[in-house]
Amino acid sequence: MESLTTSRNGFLRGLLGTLGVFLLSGIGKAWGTAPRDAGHGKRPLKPGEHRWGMVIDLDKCTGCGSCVVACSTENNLALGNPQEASMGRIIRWLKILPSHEGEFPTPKQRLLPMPCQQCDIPPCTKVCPVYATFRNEEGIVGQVYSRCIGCRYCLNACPYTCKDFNWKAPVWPEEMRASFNPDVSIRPKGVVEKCLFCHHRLQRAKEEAVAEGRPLRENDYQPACAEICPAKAIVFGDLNNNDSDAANLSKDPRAFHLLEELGTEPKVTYLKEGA
Amino acid sequence: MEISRRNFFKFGIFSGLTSALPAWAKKAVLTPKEDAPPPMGEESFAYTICGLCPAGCGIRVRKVDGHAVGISGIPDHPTNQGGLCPKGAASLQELYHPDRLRTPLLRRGPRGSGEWKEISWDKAVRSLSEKITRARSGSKIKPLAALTRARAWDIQGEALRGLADSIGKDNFFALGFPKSEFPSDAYERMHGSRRVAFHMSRAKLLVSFGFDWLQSYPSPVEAQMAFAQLRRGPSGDRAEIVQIEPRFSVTAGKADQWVPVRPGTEGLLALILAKQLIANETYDKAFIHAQSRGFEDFKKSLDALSLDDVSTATEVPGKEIRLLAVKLSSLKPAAAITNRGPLLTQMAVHALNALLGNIGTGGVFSGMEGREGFWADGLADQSLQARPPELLLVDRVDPLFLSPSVWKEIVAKTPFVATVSSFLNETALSSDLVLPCHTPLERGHCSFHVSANGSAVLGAAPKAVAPLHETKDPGEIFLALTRALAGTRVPADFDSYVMSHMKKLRAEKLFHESSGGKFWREMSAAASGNPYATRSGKFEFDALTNLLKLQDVKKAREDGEFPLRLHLYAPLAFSFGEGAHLPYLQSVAGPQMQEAWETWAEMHPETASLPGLSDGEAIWVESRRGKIEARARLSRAAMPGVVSLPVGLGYADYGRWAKGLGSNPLEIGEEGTEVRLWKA
Ligand code: SF4
Ligand code: SF4
Ligand code: SF4
Repeated sequence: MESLTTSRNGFLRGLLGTLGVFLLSGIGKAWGTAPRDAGHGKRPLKPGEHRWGMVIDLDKCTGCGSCVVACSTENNLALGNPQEASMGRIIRWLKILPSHEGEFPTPKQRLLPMPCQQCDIPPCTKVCPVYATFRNEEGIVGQVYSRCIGCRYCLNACPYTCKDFNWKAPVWPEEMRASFNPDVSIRPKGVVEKCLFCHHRLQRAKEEAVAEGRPLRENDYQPACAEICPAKAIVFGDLNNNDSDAANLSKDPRAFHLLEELGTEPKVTYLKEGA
Repeated sequence: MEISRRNFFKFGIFSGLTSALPAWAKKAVLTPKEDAPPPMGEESFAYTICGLCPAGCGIRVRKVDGHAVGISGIPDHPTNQGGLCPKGAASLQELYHPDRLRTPLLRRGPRGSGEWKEISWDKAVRSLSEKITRARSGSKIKPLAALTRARAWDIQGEALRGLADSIGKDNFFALGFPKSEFPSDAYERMHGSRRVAFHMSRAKLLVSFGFDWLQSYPSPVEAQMAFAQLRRGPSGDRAEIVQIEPRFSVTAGKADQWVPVRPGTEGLLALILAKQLIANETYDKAFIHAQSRGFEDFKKSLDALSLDDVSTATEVPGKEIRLLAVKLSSLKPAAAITNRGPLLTQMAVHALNALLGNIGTGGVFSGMEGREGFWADGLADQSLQARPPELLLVDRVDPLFLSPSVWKEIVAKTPFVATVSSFLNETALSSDLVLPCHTPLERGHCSFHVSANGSAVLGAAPKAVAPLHETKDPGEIFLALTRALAGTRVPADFDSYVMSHMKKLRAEKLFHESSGGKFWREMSAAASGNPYATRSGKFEFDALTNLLKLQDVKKAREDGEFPLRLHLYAPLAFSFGEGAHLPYLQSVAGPQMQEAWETWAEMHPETASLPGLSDGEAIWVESRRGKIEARARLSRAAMPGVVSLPVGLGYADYGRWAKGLGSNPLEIGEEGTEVRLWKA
């Protein structure tokens, strides 16, 4: 059975689940201390604290899709098939989002690479009943699969539709398992997943820095999409470091955020097309 | 959904337990934290050449415990400077693909039936060499024809050439995307050399005639880099990009101006622009006077062309044509580019570059010294159609997919076809013997690539990973055959063959040092003093003028029975027609309409001309040659009267993700073919 509401049984279970969530949210409120968001861009900085962010220059981006493929490889994304495609269930953490305006003979089009916007005030973390999605000290919005109960509240709360649900266990032909990136776990059926800014790369870079007895350098950590972009349209770095390209570009006159009016304060900044 | 129940319980236990906890423990439980990544296995990196297309980008393969688990570009490689195209990014899926061929296959049923007998490598090589020996002793003029990939020189192809040479003459061919040889043909006729360098990022105005260059440039990564340069280069200048094309393509969408044009009439538009430049006297007179031949005749041959006629034929308003001519003469340097079109279009567009004085020092085009760098393509069709060989040996190309009508005939008339391939592509499927080869990551590389801007790169690197299956390097197969046929003078094994070639090229050092991350050498990229290798030593208009005399450029345009025109394009994910076998590529094939995993036919709602046809419905696209099925996608951005179809799907096999998916429009025609639609 695919959906909670396709049978009475499923419907009942859904109802129970909802009740449970109500209960827990009550408990959560009573505790009042629930630290789902560690750290906030607005509070004073601790020295050396990072706040990772990304700038995507739409004037350079060609919509080639390399970033999408690199992300899929890096994060062991499910392969997809025609059936899933027709149901809109292909899981891609980074998608090329097309939009159109006007019509023949002067149409306009925008192709926009869309990862999780890594909101500083993320609507998705607020609704999770089990604290499976949260914002960490460095601003990255995480997703802990082992906690996720698959209620999909966060998926619906995300205004950018950046979260995907595993409706089925991913199918991996035996031969392809050898290609798994060992740093990233394979998601089971029934959990939500999303772009984590290749957080595992940060973890590895920190390990390396510790092993070499030095502080983390900004360029030690680049997500797979930024690394592969042939047009060099994606710039990634520490927004708290005033010298970083990412910090400077995010203040460019061409900079804008998606659905800025919602107050989610994304850490993915776009630079608009044109001179 | 079972999981929800289980999770519901998990959730219950979670809330029950947490509420019973003391405050400090509550905090600990309710502060989620990323799981630490597992302890790292043994990590290493291999540096090599992508090899999935002729561009030859440098890649770094991340290996953990010996398994390749990651791919990235090499930042200081001259061709790709750290970037990769989607295909390069998907290389691991090619390597680990579950439906790769693993043993030589001998045909059992009728050709194409998919009934095979698995045989050993020994038997395969023996039976093929016996076949060749028998063919040589027979009466056929051409015992063997060998076909490899166009546009790059590699050691594997060189081994094939060695085999072909040992058997006869004029029997070695290279195959590219249909019509991809025409730009070189045009250069040859106008410059006297097939090698013309092309510094796209120097242009202040880039006008493309029907060339969706962001998606189908011969060196895909270079194209994306050039685009970023034209937009926001270090100089801060911003070039203007004009896209003349029947479809509102990715390139058209990113351009400053899209000029919709009827499929196949781009050349006509170039000619009328040339006429405008001449009439307005805004062409580069000094250049034409000093460095060209045949200008007056060319000018005269344009007499018959009128702006109104061309406007009607191309469907570009006269006013727009006039404005375009002004733009061309005012923004300098302006470059006119095209690709994969008929020869007339290629030459007409290049004539514009001459009129703009764009060629030579400081211009966008320059001549090149030295060797061609790769094998000339495009000769196989005519030569083999007239005289089919006794035996055809195909090396990592798929002629039956790329030019089905021509090659179906050649294959049918060829008694024995052997194909070297990693997958059961269209040609392998119709072969008598299939020889499974390594994927690029499992191959040693020694190859030579020429980028469009004229820089030539020689690379040499050992295999990045140990072969996963009992496949062979294509070069190893050809060498074994050569040895079986010619005996002693051939090196005993492929490795020493490669080494001896590297010595000749002085590339052994690169090969040995590749583990350090640098395995390439840039060859002279310098433009020669005189860009023309013609007899006159000048740029020549003559061939174009002659072609114009032969053709009636204002062909009749209406066909009542088949009222629509076909426009074909190759999405970047399926560049060179390959890529549908990799699932990650399937999902990025059609970014504009978020189309994937099927063949979609883009058209304007008015074009559909089928009452009640709605977006997403299944249709037949029919030409005089046949019909294929596709999904109708109605777009208000499309040019009325045109049906656009992507090339790259429609394989009978090619592994589970491509098998039976979509259709191959090359089966029913080419650019500009007249078609009609039916509801399926
Ligand atoms: S790889 Fe770069 S150019 Fe290509 S779609 Fe992604 S951001 Fe755009
Ligand atoms: S974009 Fe969506 S998933 Fe990402 S942090 Fe914001 S709300 Fe959450
Ligand atoms: S352009 Fe793409 S397929 Fe071709 S060599 Fe480069 S990465 Fe590989």
